[in-house]
Amino acid sequence: MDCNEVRPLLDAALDRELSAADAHRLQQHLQACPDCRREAQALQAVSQATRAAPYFRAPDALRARIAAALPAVEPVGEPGTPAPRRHIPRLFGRAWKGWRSPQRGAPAGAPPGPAAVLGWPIGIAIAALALAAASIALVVHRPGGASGPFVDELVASHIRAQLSGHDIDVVSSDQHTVKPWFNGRLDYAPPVEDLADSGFALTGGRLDYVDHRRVAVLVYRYRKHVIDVYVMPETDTRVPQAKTVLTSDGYALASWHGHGMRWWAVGDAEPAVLDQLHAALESHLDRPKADASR
Amino acid sequence: MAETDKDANAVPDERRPSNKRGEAERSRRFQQVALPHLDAAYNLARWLSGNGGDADDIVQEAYMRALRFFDTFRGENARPWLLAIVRRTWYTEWQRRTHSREVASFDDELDETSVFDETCSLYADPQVLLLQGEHARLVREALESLPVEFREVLILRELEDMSYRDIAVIADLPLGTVMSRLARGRRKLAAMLAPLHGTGRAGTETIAQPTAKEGPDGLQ
Repeated sequence: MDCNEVRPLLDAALDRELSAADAHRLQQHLQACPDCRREAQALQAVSQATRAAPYFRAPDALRARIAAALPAVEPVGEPGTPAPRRHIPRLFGRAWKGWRSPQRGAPAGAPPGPAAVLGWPIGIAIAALALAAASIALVVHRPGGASGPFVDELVASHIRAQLSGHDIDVVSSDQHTVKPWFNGRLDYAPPVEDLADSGFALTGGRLDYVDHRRVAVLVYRYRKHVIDVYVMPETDTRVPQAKTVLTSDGYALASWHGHGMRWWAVGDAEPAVLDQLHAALESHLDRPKADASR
Repeated sequence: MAETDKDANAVPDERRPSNKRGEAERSRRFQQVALPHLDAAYNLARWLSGNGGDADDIVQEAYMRALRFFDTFRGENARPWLLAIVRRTWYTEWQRRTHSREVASFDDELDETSVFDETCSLYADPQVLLLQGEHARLVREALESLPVEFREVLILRELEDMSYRDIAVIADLPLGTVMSRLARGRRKLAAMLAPLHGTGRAGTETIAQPTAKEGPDGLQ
């Protein structure tokens, strides 16, 4: 390749649109030709400068306006509209009420929970079982993927990111790079920890859109598995409060809350792996840090 | 509310009560596909129109159109599909506003920037363009003053990181035109930004006065 051939290809080379063979021949020329090399560097500088231009994100008001203008997602009054989202906490809450009610008495007019109907010794047994299960992790394997729209959305988001090849917006194993990247892109600051010493290497982060809001996703790699960790502020009361591990469409999900955030880990690894990730994350976040301000 | 009714009228089958569930399912799928790209849609509309108010209206109108045409979406990549609708919405609106004037389409052959002339070097020193944060405003002004044909491909390439093929789909251009517009746009931008830095160049500290070409014909 000579200069006349190279110059028209510099843009495509910068944009990674050249074939491997052309890119290789172009590189060879650049190594030998200082003029073309300088031109390529200048082009890269223009490209970088352009990337400093503001990215205008959609205002929340517009988001709301569009959502309101679209046909309702769940038809009103439709028979059989499922709302199984609270399945887990309700189960837990009833057992709790069953344990409590013989001592304090159920509030007047409140429908008795199943445990209360059974009588309090059985209620205690159920409550103890439920508590034991919840303290380790509530493991639910639901057949048929009947796991609620929120979980479906998380799994869909995770799959979409994997399929599109656009699973990472900011590529970095450095938490001090990933954390500031979220600044200005979110109205909250998610804690970001690299867990490479526990086998979970932080590979980057991205923004995603779940449950009508922008959320931070931390992308971890564990062996061959990619695990997305969705971090959102603890404001949404619709998600279960108990720690939850479940599977949906062959994907494992784990959810817990801590450090003012709701955490959802999604991946194709074993549920036990997500438990390990949770434990590693907790121990990192609880560790006192000199540079806590970062 | 008015938009919802209008859309329902455009697709009469959706109003049948037995289809309520189908409509909800369609809306749910549409939201899953389209809402993740709302920021990209807004960013493009904002850069095309140059102001937030128009961008709001364009994006909302585009989403309503996208829903109407959702059945034609084949499940490939949603982002270029949606951004093409946003862009078309803006051009339609722009033509409506200027319909009293004779609108010539942009002629790439007539553009004066010589792209592939090897003697036309960008500048002496590449460091010149390694801009710091305080220059973001100047980059923005330079981009805004670029003719929209160049601005749109630059925004899609540099801010959305889209491939030439996707840009060609969105801007409804042949691949070769996408490439030459990108190349020309970068060189125009470079020429505007070069005087920013006094180093080695006699230049003012301000950017060359924008020539305010706003229309897609670049003739305004």
